[in-house]
Amino acid sequence: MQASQSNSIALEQAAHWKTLLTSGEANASDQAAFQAWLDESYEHKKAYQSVEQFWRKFDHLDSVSAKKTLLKTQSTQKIATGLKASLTIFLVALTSWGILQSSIGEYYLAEYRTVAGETKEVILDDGSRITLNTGTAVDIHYQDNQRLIKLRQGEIYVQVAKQKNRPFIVETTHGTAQALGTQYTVKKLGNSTSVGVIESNVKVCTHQGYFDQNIVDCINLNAGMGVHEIKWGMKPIAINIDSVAGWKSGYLSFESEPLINVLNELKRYTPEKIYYDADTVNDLWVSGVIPITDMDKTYAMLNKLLPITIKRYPYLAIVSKKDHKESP
Amino acid sequence: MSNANTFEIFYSTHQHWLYAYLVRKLRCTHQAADITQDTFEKLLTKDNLAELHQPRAFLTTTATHLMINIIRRRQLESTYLQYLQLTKEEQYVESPEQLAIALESLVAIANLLDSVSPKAREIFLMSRLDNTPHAEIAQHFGISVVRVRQYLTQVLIKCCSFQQL
Repeated sequence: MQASQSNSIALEQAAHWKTLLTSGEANASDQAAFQAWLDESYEHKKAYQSVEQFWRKFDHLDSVSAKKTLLKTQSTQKIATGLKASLTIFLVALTSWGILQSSIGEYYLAEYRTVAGETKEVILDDGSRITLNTGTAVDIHYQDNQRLIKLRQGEIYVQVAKQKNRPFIVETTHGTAQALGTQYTVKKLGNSTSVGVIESNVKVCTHQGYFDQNIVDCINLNAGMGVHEIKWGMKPIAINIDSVAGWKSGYLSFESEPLINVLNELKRYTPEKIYYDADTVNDLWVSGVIPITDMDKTYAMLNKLLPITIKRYPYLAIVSKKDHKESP
Repeated sequence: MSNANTFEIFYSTHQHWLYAYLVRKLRCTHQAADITQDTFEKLLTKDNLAELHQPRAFLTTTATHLMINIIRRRQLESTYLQYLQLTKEEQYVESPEQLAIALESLVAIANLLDSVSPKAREIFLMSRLDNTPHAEIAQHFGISVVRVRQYLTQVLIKCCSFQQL
């Protein structure tokens, strides 16, 4: 009891200090007094650190927008009251407080989309084909002088029909990949875009200004080459076409990949939640080919390759290492 | 009985009930399925599942909290993005990473500020976000500077004690 009492006293003092130091009226002797207080005990340091932690959260925000937002949105109390009246308010809230230009918005506003576990092939006016992998969103912008595919999120495999006067370009926030030939993949997940070339040539460029440079950086990639991440100073790497494009044929190929990474990758391909016991499975590695079109087959293959137990329920799978004591 | 077994029994006993309950209330199988799974996922690490007196009441409460958080998060994201668009010049582009961090911070701050009165919240945000001097805040609200400082300190105390938990 005494410990928590002195902790709360320290917190009160820390709060007083923060308020004073940020008032614009603190002078040199206030600073000195604060430093003396801080040095007095570990508790004081901890308390002030806690205050600083909260204070720093605001650094990431645009002040004007944040203040208006925080003053405008409902308290959880109010939302709770609304929900108590009727749960269908939840659905209304989802659509009305909707999802503009967040990355979620990007996904919902796209022209072609796939959900988890879905692949879709789109055949375009010129005969080019785009195969969308799981969780992908693209826009098609075919114009007179170019054929532009905006990849908002996810992964696509493109097969380009040759057209002399209309370059075929796949674009993400990070850069572009222009076809000089016929078959390649582009993948944008989170903060980076990667490209792999299966056939012919692709020219990959960064977007001017995106990586804080005034000129673009471009490289040419041949078949069997790719870039791990489109960025300034990127270098071509050799790619394993199986690893990069296997999904198009319904499988993923791994070589000495930690199981945890494999499971995280598999999560993309199913609406199921996959939960794993991180402590026990972190020393297991996967080498082989895993089917992804049917989760039954996926888990069966994993079971075959590794000493694991996979418990399945509707929309949920729990992966753990086989206990030696358990019967096989 | 291991924790994993307890959870499995709990899940198989109540999963379908919760799903059916949510379908009735939400009138949407897709959302009901999502919320059901998210609710159980939240309980994966909870101790004493077998000892709950009213497991179903507990489940609906957990599910409801989840939905409240989802709504709140959406409100914050959507409102912030709208204001951001209005505030910034046309050429300005927020990097997705910056935006994600900003939104996370926003949600965390909103949750912490929930415990504070609307007036205290406004005073604090005027100080922290607008950098309004204490004297000006005092004048704006017709109170003393000392009172303003009390408000500011109280907000810090409340928000930081939640952080410590």
